[in-house]
Amino acid sequence: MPRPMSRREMLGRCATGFGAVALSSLLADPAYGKAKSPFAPRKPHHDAKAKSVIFLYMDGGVSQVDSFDYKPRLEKDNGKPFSAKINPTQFDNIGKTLKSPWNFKQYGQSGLNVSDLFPHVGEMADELCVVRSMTSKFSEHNSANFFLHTGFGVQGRPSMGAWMSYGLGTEATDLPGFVVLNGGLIPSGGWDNFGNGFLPASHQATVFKTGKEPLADIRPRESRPGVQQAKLGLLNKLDQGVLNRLGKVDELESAIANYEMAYRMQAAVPELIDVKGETEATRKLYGLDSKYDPTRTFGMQCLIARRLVEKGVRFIELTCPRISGNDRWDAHGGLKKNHGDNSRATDQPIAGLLRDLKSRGMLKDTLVVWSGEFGRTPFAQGSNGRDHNPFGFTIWMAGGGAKPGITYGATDEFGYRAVENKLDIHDMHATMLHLLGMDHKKMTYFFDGRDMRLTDVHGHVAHDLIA
Amino acid sequence: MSFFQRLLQGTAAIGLGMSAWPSGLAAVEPGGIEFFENHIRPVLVQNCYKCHSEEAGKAKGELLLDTREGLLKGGEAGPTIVPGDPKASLLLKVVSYENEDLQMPPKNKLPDDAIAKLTKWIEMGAPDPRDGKSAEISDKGEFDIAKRKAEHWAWQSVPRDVQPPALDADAGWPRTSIDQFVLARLQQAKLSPSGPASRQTMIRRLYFDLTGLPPTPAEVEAFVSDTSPIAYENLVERLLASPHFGERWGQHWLDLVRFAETRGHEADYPIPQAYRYRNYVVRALNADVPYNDFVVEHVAGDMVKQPRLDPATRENESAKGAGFWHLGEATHSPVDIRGDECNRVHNQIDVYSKAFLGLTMGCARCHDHKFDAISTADYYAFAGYLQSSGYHLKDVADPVAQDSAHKKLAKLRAENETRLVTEYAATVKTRVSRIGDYLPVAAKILNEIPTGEDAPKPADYIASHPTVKAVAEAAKLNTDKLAAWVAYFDKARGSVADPLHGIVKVALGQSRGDSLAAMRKLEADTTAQAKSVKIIETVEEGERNYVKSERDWRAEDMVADYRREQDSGEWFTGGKQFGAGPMKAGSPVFGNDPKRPIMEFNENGAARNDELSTRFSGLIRTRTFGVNGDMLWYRYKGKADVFMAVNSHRQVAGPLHGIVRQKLDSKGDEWKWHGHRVRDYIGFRVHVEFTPRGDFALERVQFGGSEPPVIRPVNSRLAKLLESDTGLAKGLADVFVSAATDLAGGKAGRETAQLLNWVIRHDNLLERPADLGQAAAGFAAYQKQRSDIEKSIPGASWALTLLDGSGEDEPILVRGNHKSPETKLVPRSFLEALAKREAPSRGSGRMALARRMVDPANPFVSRVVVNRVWHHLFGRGIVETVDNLGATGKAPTHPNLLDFLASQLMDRDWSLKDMIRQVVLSSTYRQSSKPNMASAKVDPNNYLLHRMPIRRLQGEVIRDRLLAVSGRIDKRQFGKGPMVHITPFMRNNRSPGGSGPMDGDGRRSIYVEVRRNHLEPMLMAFDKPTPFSTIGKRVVSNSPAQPLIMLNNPFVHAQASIWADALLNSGTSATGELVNLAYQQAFGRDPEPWEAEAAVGFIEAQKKETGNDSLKQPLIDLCHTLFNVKEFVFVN
Repeated sequence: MPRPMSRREMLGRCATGFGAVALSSLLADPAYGKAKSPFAPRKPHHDAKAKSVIFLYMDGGVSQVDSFDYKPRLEKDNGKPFSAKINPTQFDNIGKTLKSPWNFKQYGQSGLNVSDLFPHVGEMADELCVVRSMTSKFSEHNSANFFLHTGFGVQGRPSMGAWMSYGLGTEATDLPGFVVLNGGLIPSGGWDNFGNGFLPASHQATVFKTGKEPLADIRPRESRPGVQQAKLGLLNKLDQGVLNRLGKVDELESAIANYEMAYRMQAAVPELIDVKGETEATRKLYGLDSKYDPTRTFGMQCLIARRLVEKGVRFIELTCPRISGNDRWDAHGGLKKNHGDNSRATDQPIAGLLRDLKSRGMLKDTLVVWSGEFGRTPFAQGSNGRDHNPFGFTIWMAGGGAKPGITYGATDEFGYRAVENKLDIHDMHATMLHLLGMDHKKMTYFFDGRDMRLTDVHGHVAHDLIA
Repeated sequence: MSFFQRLLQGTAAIGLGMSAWPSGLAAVEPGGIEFFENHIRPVLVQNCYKCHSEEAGKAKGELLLDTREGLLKGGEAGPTIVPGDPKASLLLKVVSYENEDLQMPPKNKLPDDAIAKLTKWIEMGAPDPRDGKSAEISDKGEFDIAKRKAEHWAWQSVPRDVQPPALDADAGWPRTSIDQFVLARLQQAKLSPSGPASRQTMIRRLYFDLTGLPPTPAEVEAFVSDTSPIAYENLVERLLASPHFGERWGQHWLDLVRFAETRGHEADYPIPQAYRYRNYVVRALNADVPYNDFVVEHVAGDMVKQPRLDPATRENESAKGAGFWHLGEATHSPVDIRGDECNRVHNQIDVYSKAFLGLTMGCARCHDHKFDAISTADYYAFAGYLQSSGYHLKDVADPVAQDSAHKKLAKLRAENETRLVTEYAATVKTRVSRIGDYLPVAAKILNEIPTGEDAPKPADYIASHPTVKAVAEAAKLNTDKLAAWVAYFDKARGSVADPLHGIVKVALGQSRGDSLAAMRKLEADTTAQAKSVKIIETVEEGERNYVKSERDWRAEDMVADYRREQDSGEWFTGGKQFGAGPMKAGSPVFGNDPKRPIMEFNENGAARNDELSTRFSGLIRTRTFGVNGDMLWYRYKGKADVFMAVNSHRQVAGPLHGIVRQKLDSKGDEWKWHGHRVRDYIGFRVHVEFTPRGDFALERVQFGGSEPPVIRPVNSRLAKLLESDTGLAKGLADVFVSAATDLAGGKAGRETAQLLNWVIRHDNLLERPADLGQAAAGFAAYQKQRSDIEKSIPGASWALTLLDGSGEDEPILVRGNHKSPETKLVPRSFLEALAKREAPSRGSGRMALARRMVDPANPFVSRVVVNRVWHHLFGRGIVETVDNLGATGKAPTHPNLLDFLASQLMDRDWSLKDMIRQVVLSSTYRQSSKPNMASAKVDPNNYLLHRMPIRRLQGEVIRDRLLAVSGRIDKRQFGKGPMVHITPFMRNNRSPGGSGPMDGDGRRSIYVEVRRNHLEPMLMAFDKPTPFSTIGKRVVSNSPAQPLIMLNNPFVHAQASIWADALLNSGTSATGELVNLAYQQAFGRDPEPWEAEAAVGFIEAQKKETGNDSLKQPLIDLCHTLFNVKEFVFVN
């Protein structure tokens, strides 16, 4: 039976090595057009300010009163019994009022008060849109993590990145819409924080790790170059036979087209993480020359995040690096060392990322969000730790249409509870979606007998935060 | 009760009395109106009207604040203010941001000044000039269950007389009634069905659909060449009878109950024995347990009177069904433990209603269902069933053997008890015969022992005293025994707990009158103390600031009192250990020690595990009760583990809640009190479980401040002795003898037991004839018989199920907020639209619920399950939304067919295999899947089934197929199954130690551990759902992870290699033959000539590339390529 040369065969013959195949002609082919891809970009509901999101997840919960929410009252009350009403806490080990061990300083035109934990980020104060009145509903990591990521405090709902991939697809042609850059720590609640829930599995996070195999099963295992191409050549032929025998149905054609994406990813991913092409200055900017291992790890994550944005990936989440002797930002004891080490790992890379995005003109349509699952108590846990505090904490956004150089909302004089312009996680999701051009009330998926949303039946867009 | 609950109850009561009051107030307070206008109205307008006014068109929380009437009436949470009483006014609580869940205005706390003004205004009596009627607000008016029910097809009962439609012409196509329904719809659309699929196609289709495994080449060959006219029917029967049938259909079922073996969240703790539920499902489906029974087992399997047994192990299968309730996720250390419970119960209701009823009851948690005939009351009425049923690890070992042993032991005891105690009683006289000799001598010696700091111990004194021996010998007393008497006297004179305390005092010189008076005083004092027990209540003021207050003990502070008989509504035990009720006072406890055949007589009634045999397993639990004091006290003896389930929370692992676990160990024969500090749970609903660790007796559970006193009643026989002139020593012996006489006469009670226990425990003081004669022989025979029966008690085997507790109803939680309960409870009941509200009288009432569910009058259970069968065989249900037959679900494509099948199911003993058989025997199922352009134009989504769909195999089937084709598969069934393989990529800071084998030991996917936080990446990529809710219809997605796995995953590569080895060992080395064989194994067919040519060409080319003549690597590469051919992951 005479058979025309397939694209695969063409690919196979053109190949001089893995990753060196020109793919543009393939992409132009309507037979493998974007219509069949679950990642095809979709039109937003309204004009988008941001094209991509970089979510800097601060695992364990950063203390607001030691970072961006300066409270002189704590200095006055230091060592005294906490004088406001205390809600039950995770460890029920209430100590005295605890002032911040760090000094605060004002930065930039905005005069934002930032502690010595974040001197580099402080330098970028005028880009930050700081929300000091964020609240969560849960005091436990796991429930709070699910809530932060999925809008529900329980397992199994789609992560915000999955929603954004589902709602908007991705501009990238060789990468999926939702990527997690795993610095070494997987949050409490596990991979489900990045799951697709009831959405199609295509929208679950593609998790990149640092190291030899950045992505599961991305490396061909064939011992000789060219073998995979030969296999794919044969496969393509046999698959065409399947189409002929069974019929050209969508399911089969999409599954065949899916191999194209996978194949492109095999080349794209190693290229992506190979940062040799970046200038020395850029590498320094991200702290890749740091003597501190975790700084280099997180710097690399930040740099790859920028490269993913350049590729057009819709949602990129960064998890924290694993720092020995610390349980993420979760400073139940030894606040000083814990937060000190964690800020050392993340401060310079984050500032570098903002600066780099800005200088490349990318910050305006890249929304950077910095958030933990909750904050920490202004009173001590034991003598020198802080317990979980969902009642008022700080997050910040930058770029992507967020209003630069402002602070929004406030906690009480202790930094314990949000009392002014309170926002909750649903509001944050609604606002992020809004900046991406999506109406959080319209982006739905039918499940459980109703149209489900990232914001469930809640959420308001915080228009005050939008430039 | 939480702070907020109390607040609501308090204000509700006050609010009622107030409603008539305020209208005249404004006039009374002349400056009042001005104050309102200057300070209050602006605050209300600016901060409240946006959400609570007619003008804004919003009445959130059913509250309007734009009129005086509205303000006073309040909303869902009760009246807004109590004029004159700021402290009791809800308004001030919410604006002061005291309660995390009710803070207004929601975004910004009011300035302190505004709050001060509001406080003052309420103090002034809340003068308010605004009049006008507050608009009626209630969205409840629109909700009408009867109307909802009438308007949607799914609520209508299943008609039992649906006949297949008459056809214009059927061209001989229909084989079964199903085909008539399908063909009629096709004809209406002027379509015809597709032709029959080939036999090769049909055998693959049947194998994958019925067993999830591919046919072997030999099986294909046999079927294709089978000339029997019923070859197809025979094949269907063989597959329905295959042990692998239950593995395929079991997987479908596990998707419905969010099956997993760990609890997820931070630490992913294991769910004990979860895998046994999985095995139960596989076995039940293989055994074709009627579906109605299967449903009953899920809802109330623990209560089935004659449980179904696993033929292999004789375990109680029925009870295992009810394990599904607890397969969900669970948090350890929730800070808000009630909130956590509500989420857990919500998941249970959600799963239950979707899996069995195809209804989304979960929607009614916060409001009446927006579309279906399900009210919020229905939701909370159902929640009560779960509140009345606890998590239970039950001993499911052969229940028949357990029952039979239990009955035999009870019978043996009943037959022998009278005789044995009579024989025992007969020995008492001998035992106490020399009390009169020892008592005065011992008393005299003790009185001579000097007292004071340097005083010798009685035993030392006796040993060293030169005259004691002489005294003993003179009186013909045994020196050691005399010493024991002296020591006993020394102890008893100081212990009011000793029943002979008063007698000993008299023996030592106290007057009879004084001693008796002291005994009576002790009784009076302890009785008074017991009545005046104080309870320390810890009241929350705010949430963490406790205030202690003391109150008198009340009857409800007695949680469980086993001193009296229990009626069946208050006796909650799991397993057989505790029998049918508390052991009565005066009953003997028979031991195994030949020297002490009667361990003791039970003095007060008590729950005891030693009445028949402690070889049975089990636990005893209290009713569910509210914690209303600081300390809970347990009066017990022996050893047990205590678990207090607070709001049904189970996953205890610190840092919080460790205190719910306690260990009891009396370290001896004495009754003890154990105090359990429960202050952290004041206001919470709890129950307490006691699991014995050896002999265990529990007398009562009660609240108390400090350790509750034990009443010490005067023993009337001893009192009588002291009142008489009888000599003390002789009189005492007579008292014992008369107690023994009463015992023999069947008149034993508390006092008898007390006296005879003294005898038993003071063997060393008493006479012990070398041979107790008849009694000893009788006891030995009894002990032997008993231990023989005990040997037939099967060793414990644990499975997850439920255990009924007290009947508990739930209140409606306003807007689903657990901090806003209504005061009224909703009686436990099945959906109002399907059954009359009928509260169960005792226990959970789950069995009645289960019976209602499977009553043919309920249209959902049968329709839902036949629709699921259809879905699994055609890739789409007759109702596409298989978990939702409600108003938002899809309409059925063949409504009459659905009813026909539901009716058939019920008529044919609810047999699922029969239902599957009916479908797969139809011409509809046997159609070709080849697309037909003309039909596709009319019916592009193939709703009318003009052809068979082409379906992507599920992840588990793909993995099993890889194993089957490579030959690596291990078809062993059941067991615990291998741990999931933690790939190096998955491994993270939260991973468990160790890892399962990469290929899962070759076991079928259904047996590989489902670990919530480490789900199998390959299965997940191929759309295995996250186990969080009912998923009757899996998404079929297309993600690059799928081809990446098939191309690069080491497991897939390993299977290619194993397969190639097997091919090379098949006896041929001819490339063409190898390719043929590979095709037969992979796809159940021969390759087409061009395929064979391409495959052979590939191998030759690869050989040339390597410059090596070995076939092995090229064959591996071919095998790997064949895995990736779409035919491998699709079935047509």
